[in-house]
Amino acid sequence: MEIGFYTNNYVNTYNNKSVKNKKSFDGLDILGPEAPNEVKEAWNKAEKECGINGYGYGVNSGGKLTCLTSLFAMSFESAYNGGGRDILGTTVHSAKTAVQKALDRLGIPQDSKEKKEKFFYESFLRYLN
Amino acid sequence: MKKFNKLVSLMLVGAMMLGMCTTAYAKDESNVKQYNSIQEVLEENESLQDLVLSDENLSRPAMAPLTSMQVMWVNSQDAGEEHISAGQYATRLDHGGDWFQVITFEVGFSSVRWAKFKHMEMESTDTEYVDLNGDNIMDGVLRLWTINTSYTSGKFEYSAWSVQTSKEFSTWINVL
Repeated sequence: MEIGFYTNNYVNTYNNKSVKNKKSFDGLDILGPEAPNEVKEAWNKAEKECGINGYGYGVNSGGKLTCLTSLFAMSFESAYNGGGRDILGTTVHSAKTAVQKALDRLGIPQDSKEKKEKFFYESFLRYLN
Repeated sequence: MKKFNKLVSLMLVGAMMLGMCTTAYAKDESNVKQYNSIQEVLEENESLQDLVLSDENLSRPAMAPLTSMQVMWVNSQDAGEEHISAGQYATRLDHGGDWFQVITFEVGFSSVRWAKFKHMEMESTDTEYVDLNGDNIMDGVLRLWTINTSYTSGKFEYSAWSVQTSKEFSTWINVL
């Protein structure tokens, strides 16, 4: 079965951004490259507060993914269906909708990792209100 | 009269024993923790969580057999993230460093699996289910694998055995 996950153009475009000594690992360059500053600020504040972000990077993880998140999976599903990995969109409303959906999908946290993830989503939504 | 006294004695002994049993039962009951929901039970018992939440637990609703798998993402200290296309046999970026990560994607579900990098077993760091068509039914799994080792290149190999059929699936990628 052919997975057909990414087109070659998309892979090349994305991979060119993955360069040595990348300084920021907030995941926004993938999940919300076009998101407004308000969204990016809320994302970064929530990350500082919770120790991880919605992409799965931990604070000071140096580019190592600490977990897989619901947002990451939603972004993967979007790309799989040809929609690209940007799921936060270009407005505050679209970002809130995506994160609320991730929160609903996560449901009741089953372990400490999921508790942190839920905490991040809730903080992010709080900073956007 | 003797018979009556014997009967009364037996009744008294019986009543005393019943009292002791009741006390013992009451003591046991006081030690039993009351839970209001299954969630509370799971939160306090991690071993039960593993049992209930493990995808090896085949008593959960039927899962579709594995139909395909691929390496979809690699990540390293030196090169960062690289997304892998279906059929790609080697990485495009120059990976290396002190740690290495891979995300594998399975359509359908496996019951047993292993991931190796340079013949060394990788740790299963996390999993996330995916719903590819939005019907609220899990279609597959993303698995994050991590190894802490110093390297400049190597081969990643992954094998998994499907639920229901036990058919083996394998994939690999050369990490440059």
